[in-house]
Amino acid sequence: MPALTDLSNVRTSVDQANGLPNAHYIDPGVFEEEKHALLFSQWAGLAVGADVPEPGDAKPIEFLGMPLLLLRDKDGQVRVFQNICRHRGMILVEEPRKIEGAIRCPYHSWCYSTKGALVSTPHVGGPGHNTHESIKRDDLGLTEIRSHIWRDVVWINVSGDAPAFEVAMADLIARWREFDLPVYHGGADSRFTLEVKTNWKLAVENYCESYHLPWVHPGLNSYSRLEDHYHIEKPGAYSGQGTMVYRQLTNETGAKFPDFAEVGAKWNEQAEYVAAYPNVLLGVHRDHAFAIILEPKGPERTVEHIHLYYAVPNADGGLRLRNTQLWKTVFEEDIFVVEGMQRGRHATYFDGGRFSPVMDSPTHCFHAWVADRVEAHRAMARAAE
Amino acid sequence: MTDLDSAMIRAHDSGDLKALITLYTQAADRAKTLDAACFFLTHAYIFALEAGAFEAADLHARLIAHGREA
Repeated sequence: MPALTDLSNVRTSVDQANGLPNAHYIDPGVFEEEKHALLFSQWAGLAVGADVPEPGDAKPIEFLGMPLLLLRDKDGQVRVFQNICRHRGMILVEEPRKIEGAIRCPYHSWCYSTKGALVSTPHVGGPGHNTHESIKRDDLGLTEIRSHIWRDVVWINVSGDAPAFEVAMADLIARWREFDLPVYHGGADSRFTLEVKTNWKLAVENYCESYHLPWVHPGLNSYSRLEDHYHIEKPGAYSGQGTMVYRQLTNETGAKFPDFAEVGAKWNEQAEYVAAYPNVLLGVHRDHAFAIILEPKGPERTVEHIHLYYAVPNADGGLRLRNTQLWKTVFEEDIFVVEGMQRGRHATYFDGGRFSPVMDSPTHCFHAWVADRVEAHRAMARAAE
Repeated sequence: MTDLDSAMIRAHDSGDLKALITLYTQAADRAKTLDAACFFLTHAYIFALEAGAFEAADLHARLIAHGREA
């Protein structure tokens, strides 16, 4: 089968390269291909631990059409399962709720523990006979999806064969080792979602470059000029931007959020914003952090799940509200851009565009990663044929 | 329909797990055959498992004693 797109000119140097072809933003076939090449085969962001704060909390989530169950087990460990019974494939949990004891399938009442073990199979051997020699409970637990928690983000590797998370993200973990501290979700006022008519990759691309800041976020110009920013690039893993002039938020009395303890003087006025490939956008500051999970809903639809975190539990509520509003304003200012670029991908003669060799290298870094992963996926598919 | 049947239907309709455990246990205790008793015990046990109710341990033991549960 011929390749869906020609990526040869995406992988060349930034001064020569074109961006990804239109099909990577609008074509359902390429979206399906990228689902496997970029999302299922990598460590993708699914949710945050704060979505299931207490043992027994369960939240069904559909990820790229796949029904999953985010669950905090009785011992407090966050797990991700396929949200289906091993018997007839019935959906187990329809709405977020607390699992008090076992998860009972609503169809024939097979029951699972919060750790996924199959604990009862009523009438499986006939009425009142709850065992059968062919039904090995140890082999029929819920199918668990490989998951890892870092910075409260629940990362999943659906294919199960990516390198260990600590290996895959080693460079970013090391880069932010000073921030390897507990983070506390600000609660209901510190989460919001934005539904955007764009391909998820355009949200990554816009996030990881500073070139657009003075034009799209003019409010930043008064203190955070373009020249105060620097690029962050780790080919194959992440890219983004940093600033040297982060200014802490204050309220009427001059109060600020408490700092992450011992984070170091380096971060007094420095902050960084990184797109951890594929779909998690992270920001760190001396006194707060955020995580954005990009949920691809289709080639041209994305839901952005934004979560704000602090160094202490119960950070000041008034300041939290201000901070949420501040970031919401910034992220909403980006919507017309990513939606405009999305509509632009329907221009038949668009060639993927050209990059500023100086300003666009974080975006090119992402495109090169996409192209590499898609090419590797295609090579495997060809080998399988 | 017996009072027990009616009570079971009401408990199912309202999703009252505590009542379901009690009612199915009563039905098991009144059953005339071992198979019928184990049928009702199974239901009581499953709802006890779902609820995380303390009765699950005893119901589990009763089913095991009859070779009906693992």
